Formats: sequence, C-alpha cells, structure tokens
Amino acid sequence: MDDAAIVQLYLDRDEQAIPATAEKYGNYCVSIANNILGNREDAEECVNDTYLNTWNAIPPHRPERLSTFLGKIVRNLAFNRYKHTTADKRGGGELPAVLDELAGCVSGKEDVGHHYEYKEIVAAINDFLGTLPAEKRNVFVCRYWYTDSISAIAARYDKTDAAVSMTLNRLRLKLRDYLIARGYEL
Amino acid sequence: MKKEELYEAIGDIQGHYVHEARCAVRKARPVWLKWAAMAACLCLVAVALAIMGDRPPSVGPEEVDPPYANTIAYVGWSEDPVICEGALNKELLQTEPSAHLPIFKMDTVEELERFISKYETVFTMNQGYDDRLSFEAAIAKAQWDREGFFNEHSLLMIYVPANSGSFRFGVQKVTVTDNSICVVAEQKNDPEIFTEDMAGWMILMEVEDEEIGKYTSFDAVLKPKRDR
Repeated sequence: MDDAAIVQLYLDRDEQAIPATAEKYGNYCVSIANNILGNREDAEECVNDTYLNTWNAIPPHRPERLSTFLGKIVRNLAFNRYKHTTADKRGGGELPAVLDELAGCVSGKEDVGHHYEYKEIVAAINDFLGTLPAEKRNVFVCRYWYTDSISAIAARYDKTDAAVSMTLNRLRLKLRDYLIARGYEL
Repeated sequence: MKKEELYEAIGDIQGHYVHEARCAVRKARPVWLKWAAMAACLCLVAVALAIMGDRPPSVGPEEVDPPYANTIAYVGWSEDPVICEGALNKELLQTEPSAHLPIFKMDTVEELERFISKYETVFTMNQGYDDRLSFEAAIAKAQWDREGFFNEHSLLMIYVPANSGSFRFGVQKVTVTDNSICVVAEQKNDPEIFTEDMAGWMILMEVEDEEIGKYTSFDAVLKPKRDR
C-alpha cells in the first residue's frame, strides 16, 4: 500500500492504518529503536507506542513522507526510554558509542554563557549537511540520526570499518568547526 | 551543550536527508569489474587519441535561450521508487539521487495517458495547490492532451520534490550538447516563513519534434542553493 493510502486510513480513523503501517514500516521502526536501545523487547514496545502516537498525530498532521514521520517519533520515544533505562543499567545498543563521539563536538556543560535557540542549532546542522557531498552526508546521518553501527554503515557503502570511522571523525571535526565559525560554541 | 542535546538536535534535521541516507546504497563491485573498467578506459583513451585529429575541437554545453515554453503543476510529494524507475535519467538518479531530478518524455497522447494511469497512485493528478494548477488542469489548459500537439511536439516533464509547499520552482535554463539536453530547475522564492508540509511539482515543457529528435540523453538538475 502506498504512503498516501496509509495516511488516508489514519485520516479516515480506520484502524487498518496500524497494521498497514506495521507491515510496511515495522522493520524500519524496530531497527531504529533497536539501534538505540539494544534490546529487542524494549524496541518493539517503542514501536507499538509509535503507532499509537501516529494514530493520535494524524490528523491534524498529514505527513507526505510517512517513513521519516514514523522514524522521528520512534527515535524520540526510544531515546526517552534510553535516558530512563540507563539509570537501571539496561540496554546495550549503539547509542552510548554515538553519544561519546558527539561529546567531542560540545562542551558537555549545561550552560556555557550562551543561550541558543534550539531551532537555530538545527538550522545550522542542516546548513552544514548541505555543504557535504551526498555520500558523506549519508554516512553522517546513518551514524548520528539512525544510530547505525560502524560495521552496518561500512556494509551499506562498501567501505571498511576503519574508513567509516575516519570519515565520521573528520565530519565531527568539521561540524564542530562549522558551528564555532558561526558563533555557536556549544 | 550536552552530547544528548546535540543528538536530539540532529534528530530534527530535514526529512529528505534522513530519507536519502536510507535510500542510497553503494553496492559492492566484483574485483574483476575494476580491472575491466581500467581496461575499458585505456581502450577509450586509445580510440580518442586516434580520432582526435579528424574532429573539430569539442564545445561545452550550450545554453538555449530563451528556454522552451513551460509551466509547472502540483503533483504532491512522493518517494515511490517507481518514479526513478520510469525516468529517462534512471542511472543518474541511482548513482547521485540528490543531484538529479527525474525527467520523463511524452511523444504521444497515448504515452501521456499511460503515464497518468501508471502514476495516478504515486502523484496527485487532480488537485492543485494554492495558486498552482493540478497536473491534469495544467495539461488541459495548455491543450497538451490533444493529438495535434504531439504531431509536432514532445512534452518533457521534470519532477521536483520540495520540503515545503511554500517553495516555488521554475526553469532557470536549458543546456544542450550535440546529443544531450539538461533542464536546470531553480527555486524561485526564498520565503523566511514557510509551511512544514511536503510538496511536489511537475515542470511541463514543450519541445518541437525537430529539436527533441537530436537528443538521446536527457537529464534534469536543481540549481544548488549556494549558487542562487
């Protein structure tokens, strides 16, 4: 079923919307949640919550890119669950390594004397991504949006793990420099 | 800022970057293919050197001025892979999905009808957007659905997906070489405030048969933002 038809089921309040979503995007959502949580059971619970959130969000929302709409919801839910469960030492996904890598781009302090609008930071990251060649951008997004493992990215782009790590390292430095050059000392 | 906050901010990047990362896959090439490619390159160099003396110096792409008559219609946003599969520049879309736009060519009314039938569940054919006509309305208004039009013309159609319905697009220029034609689209406005919906537009461009017959290679690109 195409995305427009699935979205129409939500708009019509037809409960078939959820199995149709699960059939087409279930694996996609589980993979995102599992990358973050490293626990299949928790990931599947997140995905079920994603369907419920989507049911509540459409309408009024009418996403044209359903995959990304679902992906954002499941990523947020899984990350919230990760923050909750790390206190209990649960989970063993890729996220701890991803966060450690991102730590090099930020001060790690609550307040460094500047208060930036969240939207400004997102816009700057978007601009930064726009400056990158497509493949480098995709590698960045796979690692820091999808939370993919290095080896999964290497397999996807026919590279070695070391080459992907090197690319990511350079991209993080570039991002940090890009943000600093625009006055965002994070 | 904490690393968790940066991770959250990355979560809100533009949807097309997120989508693009999952679509783009570089498949592993067999080792023999690398050697075959090198051998083919050497042959090409040899052939080129052999015939260079007989040919006039090559010229770069020529800009057609003014561009062919064209209009733009709303068709809605879609990521259905059937769009790329049916496009004339399918290979370019597969290798550089972010750099090219799908382009289609209709030579007869029947081809246009088959296109509408094939893509009616992919594109929104009968619904306009604000001041812009639907695909069907734009075709009817320009009378491109009449057989007489296709006796002397073909119709090029370029799909332009957009991250907001507030963005407007048009043809910036058309560049041609001996056997190739490339339509360069551009975003015509840059509103400070824009809607967060997705949209998709079809540039419809008529080209005379005498002209289109020269070309065997078709492509379309969106002028990069930094060049605007």
